[in-house]
Amino acid sequence: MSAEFDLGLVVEEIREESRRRRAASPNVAELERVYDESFQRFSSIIQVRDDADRLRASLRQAERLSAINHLIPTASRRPLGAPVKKGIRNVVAWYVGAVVSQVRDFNRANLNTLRIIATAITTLEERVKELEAQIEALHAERRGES
Amino acid sequence: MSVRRPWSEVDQFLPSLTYGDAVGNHVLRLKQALATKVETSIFFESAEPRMNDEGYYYWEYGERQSHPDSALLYHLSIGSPIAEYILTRDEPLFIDYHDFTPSEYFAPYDPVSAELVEEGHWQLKGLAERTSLAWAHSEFARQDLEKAGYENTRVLPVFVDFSRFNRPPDARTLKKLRETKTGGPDILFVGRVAPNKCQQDLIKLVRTYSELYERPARLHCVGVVGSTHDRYTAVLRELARDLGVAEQVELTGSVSMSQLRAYYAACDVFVSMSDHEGFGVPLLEAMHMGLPVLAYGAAAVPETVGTGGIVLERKDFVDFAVAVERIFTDECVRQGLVDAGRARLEDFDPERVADQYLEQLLSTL
Repeated sequence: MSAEFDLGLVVEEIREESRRRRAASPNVAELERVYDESFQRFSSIIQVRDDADRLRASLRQAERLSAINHLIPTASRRPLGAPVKKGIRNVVAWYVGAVVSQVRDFNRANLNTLRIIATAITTLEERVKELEAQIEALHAERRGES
Repeated sequence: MSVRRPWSEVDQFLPSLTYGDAVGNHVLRLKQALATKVETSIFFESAEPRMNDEGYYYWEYGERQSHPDSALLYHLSIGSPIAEYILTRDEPLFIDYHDFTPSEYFAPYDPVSAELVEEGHWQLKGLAERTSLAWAHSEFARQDLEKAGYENTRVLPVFVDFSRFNRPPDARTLKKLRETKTGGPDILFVGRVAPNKCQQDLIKLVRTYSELYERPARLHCVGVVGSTHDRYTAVLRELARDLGVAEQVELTGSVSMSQLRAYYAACDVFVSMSDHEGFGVPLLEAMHMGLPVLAYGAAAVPETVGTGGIVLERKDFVDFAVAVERIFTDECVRQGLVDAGRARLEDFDPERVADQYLEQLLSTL
């Protein structure tokens, strides 16, 4: 390590320079607040907010996991085990592949059902919000009359 | 090294064997070390196709176990059905705890991952009584083990496979990075795009630096832009646009080893502003590649960096911008940090770590 280099001293110098910079540019603190607000604004738009949102996120996970395949591992501890297993895998591929294909079709159908449910929940949630707003407006109107 | 051999077989279990990730590399390197003393295999819940032949599905364990005196070593990083499976087994159990990112980081963007982390916490507690010895990779993470009821706990570093970098950098990536340099520093961060890694703060740092020094810094976030965090990634892109630094911020996604090597070669400083790291392998990789390290001292980061880089205790963007400028413009500081990083790596020598693992594992009972 170079003889002139002192990690603790460098950190202290950085802090000192930072204090000096802050003093010279008072708007820096304001900028940090603006950056934080910007992040919070985008973040709050895109965050998972409710159960319907959680359902959609879970649905995406299910979509990822639904793509199964029949190429299982062929490692082996026994001599010649791996090539034998690979051979067997190739020989039964027509059979296992057909079963896997049916399972994949079933997964796809299930996922489609879940997507329909998720969309229906979203529609219902929006409708409920509209109705709640109408009820609130009616209450306000009634309070105004009385 | 003299060790007793209470078992003839030690098998490793982990939720997911993924190419190139820290846990996957650790497990593969540990397998090499174990194989010098005992029979050993890897069992997983899932594996990337290119890692399939490295092991077996965990439910095959009963059939494949070749010795009655076996022990199990479970790498706990997230909730998994493997934990329930292990509870049905009678073999002595070891836990290698890879630290849970707190679920609150994931909850706003990715509730599925958040739930898996919560599940992992329950499983960590559930396995405590059955466990002979549990390792964590930092004192910070070891405290989780104690809180979960583990009595026999130790700290050992993660295996870091530096030999992965023994290859030339990708010429095309290197040329592109060097030809497009802007006169300001190129900041590198390596790690998947995830809320706990706080890539948003690196974007704010780029903007702060540009404000203070009136020249653009560039940020290269190298790491998987996972579909599980697509909401967070979208926020990062919007933030960069809003702060006027979209042109200066690159989210590379997954890259090859030679491309990663090129990023380490072309950038000026490695900066981490993560709020939570259970260990932080890329910090050590940066030191190995001769890149000065600047990091926010959260979670296990101060333990990992040690005296090998600058650790700032406050997440103050001006402090960080000043530190980046100092490293970028002061050759003495840059070289001092490079040397300090290389010296720090001696504590993470894979051979030494392997000996410690074997000694502790094989002498526990």
